[in-house]
Amino acid sequence: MSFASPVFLWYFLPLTLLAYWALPSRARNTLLSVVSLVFYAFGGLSFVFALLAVIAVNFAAGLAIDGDRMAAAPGRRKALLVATVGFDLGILAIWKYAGFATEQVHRIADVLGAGSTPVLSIALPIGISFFTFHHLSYVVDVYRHSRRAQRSPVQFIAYIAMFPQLVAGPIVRYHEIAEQLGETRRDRFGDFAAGMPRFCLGLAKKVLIADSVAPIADAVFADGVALNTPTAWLGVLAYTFQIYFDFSGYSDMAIGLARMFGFRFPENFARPYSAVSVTDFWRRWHMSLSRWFRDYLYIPLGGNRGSTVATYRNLYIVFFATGFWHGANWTFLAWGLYHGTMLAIERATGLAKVPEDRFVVPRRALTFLLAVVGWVFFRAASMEDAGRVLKAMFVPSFGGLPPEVSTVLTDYRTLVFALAALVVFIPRDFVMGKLLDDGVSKIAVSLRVAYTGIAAPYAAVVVAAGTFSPFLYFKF
Amino acid sequence: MTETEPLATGPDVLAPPPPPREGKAVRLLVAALGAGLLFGPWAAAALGARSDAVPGENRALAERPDWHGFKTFEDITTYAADRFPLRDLAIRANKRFTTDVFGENPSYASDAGAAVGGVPSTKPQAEVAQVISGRDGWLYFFDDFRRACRPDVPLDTVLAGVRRMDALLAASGRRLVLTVPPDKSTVDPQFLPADYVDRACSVPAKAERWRALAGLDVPGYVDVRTPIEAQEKKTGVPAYLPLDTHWTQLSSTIFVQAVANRLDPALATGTSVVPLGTTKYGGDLSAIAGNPQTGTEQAFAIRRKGVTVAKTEEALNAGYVLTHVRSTASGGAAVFGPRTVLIGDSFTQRALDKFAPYFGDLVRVPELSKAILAGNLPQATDRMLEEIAGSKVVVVELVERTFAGAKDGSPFGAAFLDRLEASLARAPKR
Repeated sequence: MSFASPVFLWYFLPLTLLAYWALPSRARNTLLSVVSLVFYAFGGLSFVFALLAVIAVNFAAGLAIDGDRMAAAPGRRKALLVATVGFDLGILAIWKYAGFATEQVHRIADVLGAGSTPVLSIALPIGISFFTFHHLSYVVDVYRHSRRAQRSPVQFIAYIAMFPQLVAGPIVRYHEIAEQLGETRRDRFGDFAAGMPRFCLGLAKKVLIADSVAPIADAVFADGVALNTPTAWLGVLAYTFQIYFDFSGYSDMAIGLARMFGFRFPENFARPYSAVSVTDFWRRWHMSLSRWFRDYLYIPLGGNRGSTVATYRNLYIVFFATGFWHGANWTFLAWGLYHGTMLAIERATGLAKVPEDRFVVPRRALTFLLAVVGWVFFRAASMEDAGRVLKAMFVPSFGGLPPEVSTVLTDYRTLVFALAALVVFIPRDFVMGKLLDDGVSKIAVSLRVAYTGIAAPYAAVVVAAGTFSPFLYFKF
Repeated sequence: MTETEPLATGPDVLAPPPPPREGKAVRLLVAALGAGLLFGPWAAAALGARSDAVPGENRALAERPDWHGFKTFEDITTYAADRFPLRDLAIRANKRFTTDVFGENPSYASDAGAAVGGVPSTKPQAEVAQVISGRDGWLYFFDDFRRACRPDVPLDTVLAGVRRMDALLAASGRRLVLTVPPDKSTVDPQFLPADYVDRACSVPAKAERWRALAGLDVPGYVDVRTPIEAQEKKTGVPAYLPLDTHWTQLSSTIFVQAVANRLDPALATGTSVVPLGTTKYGGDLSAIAGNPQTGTEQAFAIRRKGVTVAKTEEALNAGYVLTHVRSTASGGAAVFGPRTVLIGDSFTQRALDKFAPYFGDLVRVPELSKAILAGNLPQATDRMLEEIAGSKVVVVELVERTFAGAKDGSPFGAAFLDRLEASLARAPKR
């Protein structure tokens, strides 16, 4: 169930809020656990049972790791952690990567003339990458004695499956939120008033901007479109804006929803296209993923405490994992390694150490350009497609827009594209979400009212109009 | 250099949200606006507002779902999307905003799910508009070009099917009359934009298609393109409607007369075309584009001296309706006596009143893609075969893009022709 859908906006969320306001505070986590499982069922009822099974395993593992008997047997404790992590990663590997792996085996066997091998095709449970990382965060935090194991299955389900973050993050590390799970005395009216503007900001970003520029990117990246240099740049820039407004919009909605139910979620974006280096970009883009990898992969690998070679190795491992986490395709791997390489170059040349206030304009421009090029890999359906688009971008060829693109480049979308581009140029410290959440100035208050009273209702109208289906042609 | 230099940092513990710092009035205002967004439609429903049907919606809205296992959640989602209060108002508001402010048709590409793993949630496919906006407000159907460039069935296979049907009917003592109304873009391309998707491949494909039809060795083939184009040239009035896939009523009379003339040239006797003044039409292309509009056209009727028309309808189901015509002549004009089955698409449907005074015993059967949409293909196929077996003359009309480009429901496909062969073998020679 998408947040930007009628079933969520006018059925699920109002009913959940009414129940939350009607029930006593102590029932909050129970309510959230139940409605979150119902929310998940909309993505596939059978997956709910799979999710509950994985939750049960991790809940039991957490209790065992934190138990008195294990305290006296560190070897067994570590073995149980390894087994649980292996279980979680195994589930992720089977569901998300088995199809990709068997396809590679199939191709290699084909090249070697070894005959045909089967290719698995498994339906992917929604949000599996997110809840797997939540489970891993939990068992590792418990193992590290960072937090005690959760005794309440209700609170544990609320942590793992809480619907605001279940399908699109942000990734909430267990130690970040453990205290909040037990704290249920809330100002429900104040939380709604505080969370709603943030939700509205996200809805507007997703529906009005991301979805409006998406057709431009889709047309440019579609098969068979004759690309020239301006067209390729137009499409890649459209995608650059689409993915930011889409993903950060979802994060804003998640943060706002969590706030409506009395939770504070971590920030996930901080104007990434205003970064002055790729290193800086990764401190601003999908920050909750970046923090997760820092805590549970980069630092355990040794971080940058070891030799120079070990530091670069660790960096590449993190970005290899980052790429593959996003999807089982060589394009995601290429995107991850591209960013890893950029970070390595910045580290090797000392560019990462240049103070942030030096040469801001050219550095912002260069970093934005590097991010844009990276998105080609992320968006392309295959490495061949990525090569085709990159070639069009960097080997000059000119001409008009192909009809596939000019058809979708309406005045409205052109205007939205231009508005989206502004995000690159406004000052770096102007972070809208932070302003909406914490600001008390007249500007902040006006923006809260504007998003809630104008932008979100218009986005809701667009969502509602999206249910209109004039396309199935009956007259023929 | 810190441990976490290349990656984001942040607090290790997120404290519960702090108490709000803004004034109560602001909180109240924001909460009221937010509540209006989420609960407003329900408040309106409580006050009696209902979501009416929206013009141009080409499907039935979802019915209240019953519990039937895993699929129930999908049904709830569909029902919720179709039935929430004020839906019609929102659709109209969106249309009005995009048409009035930007002069564009609204886009109905809707959200396709969550942004899993950061991959955008919007649909990855390229959006190709089904309607191409031409000059002077003219609209064109993208299928004209799509099916020319990427036909489901090669043209040679279709033409072989036509020859086979002709041979089967002739061998059984029956007669085939085939006519193919040209696509709007074939006769009136002058309003097309300078460039559009599939222009390069569709132009030669269409030319090849019409060359092949001109050389078709089937005696019952009726060329309607030539007289339609001649009429347009003579009057200077476009043969097709600006907002619709179909041609004008004047073109429709030319089409009907061409078919009647092929059946029996004597049918021209006592026939006149009568102008009826202007009438309104709802443009199907404007509806497909999501912006239903009405245009005006000149209405015409075909009058046949002394002929009385009797017409009845028979619904196989809600979406598939047969029409029976039994016109009688009392001096003056004659009617075509042999039992005739008229298989056709919307061009035939719209010309039915003009066909009716020509036939003493006609049954009009919608072409089978209509049956696919109506969900009764097997029943409709059986009935079509039955009607063919019971007729002396079979008239088939299919618009160019369907005739030469479509597979589903084509009467010239091997599956249908095999069944026709078996059916005719069982029927006595007439």
